Amino acid sequence: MTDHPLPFIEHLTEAAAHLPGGPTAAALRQRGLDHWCALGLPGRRSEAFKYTRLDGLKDIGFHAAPLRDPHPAADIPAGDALTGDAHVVVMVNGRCSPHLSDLDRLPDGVKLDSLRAVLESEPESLDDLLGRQINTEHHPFAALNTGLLADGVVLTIAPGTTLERPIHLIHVGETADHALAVHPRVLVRLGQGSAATLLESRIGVGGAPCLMNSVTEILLEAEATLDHVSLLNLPEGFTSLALAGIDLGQKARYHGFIMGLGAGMARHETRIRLSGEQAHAGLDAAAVLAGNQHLDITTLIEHAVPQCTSTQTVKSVLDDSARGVVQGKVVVAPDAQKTDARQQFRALLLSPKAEADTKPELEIYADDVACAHGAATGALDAEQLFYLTSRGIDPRTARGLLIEGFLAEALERVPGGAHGPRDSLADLLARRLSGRLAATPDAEATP
Amino acid sequence: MAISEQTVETVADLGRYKYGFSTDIESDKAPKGLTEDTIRFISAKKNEPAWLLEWRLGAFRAWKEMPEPEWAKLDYPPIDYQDAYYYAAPRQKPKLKSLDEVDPELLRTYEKLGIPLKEQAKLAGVEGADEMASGMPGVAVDAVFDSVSVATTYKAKLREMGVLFMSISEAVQEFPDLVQKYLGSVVPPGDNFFACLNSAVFTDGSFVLVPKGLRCPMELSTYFRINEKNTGQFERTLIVAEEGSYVSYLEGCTAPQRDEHQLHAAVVELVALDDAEIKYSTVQNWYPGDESGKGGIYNFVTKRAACRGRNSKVSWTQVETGSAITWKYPSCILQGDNSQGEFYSVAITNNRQQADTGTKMIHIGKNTRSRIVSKGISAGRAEQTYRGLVRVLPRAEGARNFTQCDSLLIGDRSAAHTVPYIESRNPGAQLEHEATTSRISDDQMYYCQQRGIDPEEAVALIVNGFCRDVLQTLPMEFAVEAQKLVGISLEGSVG
Amino acid sequence: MPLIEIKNLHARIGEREILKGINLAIEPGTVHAVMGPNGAGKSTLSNVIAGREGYEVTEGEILFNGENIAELSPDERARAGIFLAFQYPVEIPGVTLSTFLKAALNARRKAAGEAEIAPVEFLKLMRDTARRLNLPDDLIRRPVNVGFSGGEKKRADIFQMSVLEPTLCLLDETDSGLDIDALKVVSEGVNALRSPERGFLVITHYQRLLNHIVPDVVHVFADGRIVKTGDASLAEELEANGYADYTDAA
Repeated sequence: MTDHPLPFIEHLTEAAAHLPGGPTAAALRQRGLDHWCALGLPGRRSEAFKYTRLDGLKDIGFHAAPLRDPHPAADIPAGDALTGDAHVVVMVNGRCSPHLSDLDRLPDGVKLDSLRAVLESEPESLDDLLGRQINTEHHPFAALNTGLLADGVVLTIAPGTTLERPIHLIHVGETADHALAVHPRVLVRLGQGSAATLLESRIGVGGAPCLMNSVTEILLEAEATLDHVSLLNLPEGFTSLALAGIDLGQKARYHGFIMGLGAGMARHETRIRLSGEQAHAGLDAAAVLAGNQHLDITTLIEHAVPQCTSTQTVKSVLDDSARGVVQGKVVVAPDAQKTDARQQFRALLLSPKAEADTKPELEIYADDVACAHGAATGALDAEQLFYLTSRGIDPRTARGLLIEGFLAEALERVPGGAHGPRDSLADLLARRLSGRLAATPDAEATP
Repeated sequence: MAISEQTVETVADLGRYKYGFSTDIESDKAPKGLTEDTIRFISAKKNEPAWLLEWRLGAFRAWKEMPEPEWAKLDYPPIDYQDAYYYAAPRQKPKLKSLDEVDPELLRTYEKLGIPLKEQAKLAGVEGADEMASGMPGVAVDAVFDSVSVATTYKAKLREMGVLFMSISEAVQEFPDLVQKYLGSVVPPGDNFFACLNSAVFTDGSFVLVPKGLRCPMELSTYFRINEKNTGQFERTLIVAEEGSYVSYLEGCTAPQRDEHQLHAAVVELVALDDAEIKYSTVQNWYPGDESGKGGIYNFVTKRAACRGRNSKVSWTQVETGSAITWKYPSCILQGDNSQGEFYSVAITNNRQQADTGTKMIHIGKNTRSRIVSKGISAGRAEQTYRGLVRVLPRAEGARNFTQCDSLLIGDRSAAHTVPYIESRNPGAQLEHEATTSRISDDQMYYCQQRGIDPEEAVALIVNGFCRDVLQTLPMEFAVEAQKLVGISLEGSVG
Repeated sequence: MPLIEIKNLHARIGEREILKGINLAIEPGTVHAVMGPNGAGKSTLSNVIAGREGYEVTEGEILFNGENIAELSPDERARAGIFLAFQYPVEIPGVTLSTFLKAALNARRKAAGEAEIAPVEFLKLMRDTARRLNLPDDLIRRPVNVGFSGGEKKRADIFQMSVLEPTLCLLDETDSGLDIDALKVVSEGVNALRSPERGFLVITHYQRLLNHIVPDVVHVFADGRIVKTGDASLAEELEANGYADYTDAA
């Protein structure tokens, strides 16, 4: 495989004896370990990681995060996270932190626990949830996460329950003098006809590198609705690998939105399976990257049954030496007739050193379908810029306006209002744009 | 009736491959299998200079170390490269006085290939045939049977104007320096598994050089035919368009109907210098196998153009209807500033055919432009993939690409995939890609039928309409043939 | 002998019965109008005559020139002389109207044992017909119905009808979406085709089309049945009073 010893093996073997849960969890971890050993870090020939090289991880001496409850984090950079009225759950370095969370006001029908607690008290309740939406056999980092399965969050919403306030999971990575690797697992089940909004913020603090390798598994039963907004706002030294596996039952609706403000290196993969008829999945993303940031947004939407619809809009704005990767695949299974699937990926390059790699992919085994994708890569429109400046707007503001306009289409489907995160996202975006992004010299924008 | 229903009742028989004849001509074969000795045999047979033998042997040694590529979405059993003949040549014939003396088998073959009589005479080696074929402009033909170029028409006429058009074996003898200069300069011997194999064992092919400033007044054309059993065909085509020249080149391929698979691994290299333009059109109609997937050609082809000069242009048009397996990505390396690459493709797969085809456009020079129009039609239980790469390097300021990629599915057992890779490293580049997948609607079928058009013809009509943007780019002679081929290829796809 | 004779025709889509016993005979040289409210089954009648898939004839028969056409496919019926002007003409990208019509015309000629039409003759036929219908010359070079306005599509369908010269013309809501000028053009095209050997079945919701194409017989259609038959004056009566009386009755 590689000349180097396989990374994280020590973590896996050391931890095994101390991890929570019964024999089922232990067996699952063992499978994860086996698959990690078989797969290792994705190599040069890996098609899935073609544009995202993670070989560098092996050179960082990661320590495993402490197993026990973390100390109350000294200074969580709360300003980097989403804001607004929500039920907040904080996970520090992959461990659920009850003292930082506010779980008192949960309405009836909503259960929210630390995964560790559930593994210790009633592991059997996870049987049809844990490890169901992801396949560790083909996914190295999911295998690694599974091998080190220790903590995270379990959210269950009873059938028919509508949750007014969003649940907000804040993943905090906190390093001091050595590099840390954390592997949280989030499990979500929405009962039939229930509805909820789930927010996730990934933020961090600390000088040493951190690998946040999370796995999220979401099951939407028939007619359930989930709005899922993920913010990625990590420091330069952090690597974020996130994999979400989502299954939709009949007439269920999922709408995901990813706001990528970056980490040094990030890969955010979402795998959606439409397994009940007339289900709908929407998956939008906006990435605004600068410096040496690298963000890979990879999606798979599998139309397994007839009459489902899916839409995707991804917008990337890339400055400096940033690299934005978008890989989106739609699979239409044999007999999944009357599928309607649309993808739209657009990238804006603001600097001669930025790079956009786009791979929209259709794999279609049914004939009565309407599937389409479009992709476009280019610079800010010089004519639009000229138009705005000719109306007296200074170039910097004009650029900012155009970038906001470019991103608007992806943002507009995020829920707004009192409990929706749209305003909070807009604030974060405005802050990012008032930084160096809009400030690229005008000279390059004029024809 | 809905097409999907009609397909369920698909007419079993597709023994309608129109070119499935085999010609019984005594041939001269190398022993079965592939060793350095085979390569020495080929090279000696062709009386090649030492450098070329070394070049071949180098390629062969590299090939032995290479893994066969597995990334394409193609499913076929392992190929036994030792179980084939790598050289088969029709036996040398004496000069003939008239068409009456020509082996009637050979003439029938040409006739079935649709080659005009006067050109048949020339191809069969009848003396004075060049004079018979005088009414210029016509089409100059080079016919390659199995491994060997049989004959080239209009050679002398073209030579007077400075155009070199001959088999590559002749070019090696006559113009070794030119061949050495350009051979492998676009597709290096070690480029990929199949190109590497071709470099080791290529037996013939066409060579074209159009001199500075000349607009070649006639279409140049090569007919490729695999005739012998268990024979691989490995032709190598090299076209050089010097500064300010233009040439349009046509390529047609057929093979007899045989139960076993036959391997075809060609390499085509195009070089366009400053202000030169090459238009390369292919109608690929190798035997596709029968409806159960028995027999058919394995077509693994490397075609690449180097737009080396400023303002140079290369346009690929392909109509791919044949072969059991197609693996083919005609590409353009847009090196020269303002150079242009085009790729127009119609690929039809029916029954059990599989195709993984597309293009690569590599933008290196400033203001380089590329355009990709791909129309894929998949029927029966066929599976087809468009795979394309558009890459813009940092220096390619002002690069433009437009890609349109449409798939049409006929019947609910067929599959169509689209895998574009779009890589931009220049903010001044503008890349656009659109793809759709659809089927022939019941409404369209009903509308055609209500006007009196039967279902099979309706499908041919609608599919031809779907492919129109591509078929329009073909030279007239080929366009008509291609339109008919579209209909023939889809026979049996509706009940 | 009637050109077409429909006897006790019952037809359904899936489980839903739409035609509930239609009796209708059209003599050569006559124009019959079928009027009725939306959803009465008017379009179903034209589609069943043309042989569209998806309709099941459960009872009754259709005789065209005295022959039962139950077993004929839509293209066979078309070649026998039945033409349907569509309520929503279909777009066929990339196929020019000229190519399309040539294929249709030659299919008919082939079925009749005639030779294919000569290119020059075909071109002349196209041009003359286009001129007669006041259609732009470039129409025939454009892909069938692609990018046509609603009115152009209807005119193009009448254009096809004029070229193909069927014996039975079914016009399905041909007036819908037409402004008054286009309506005139379409009507003139139809009237020009009226001849002793040809029959028409004009399906419409509104009476205004019948001011231009004056029918010999008017049928009122409601809930899958012909509930009243009369002469042209019946159409005027319907225009004044609406369909309420008939829908209640049905």
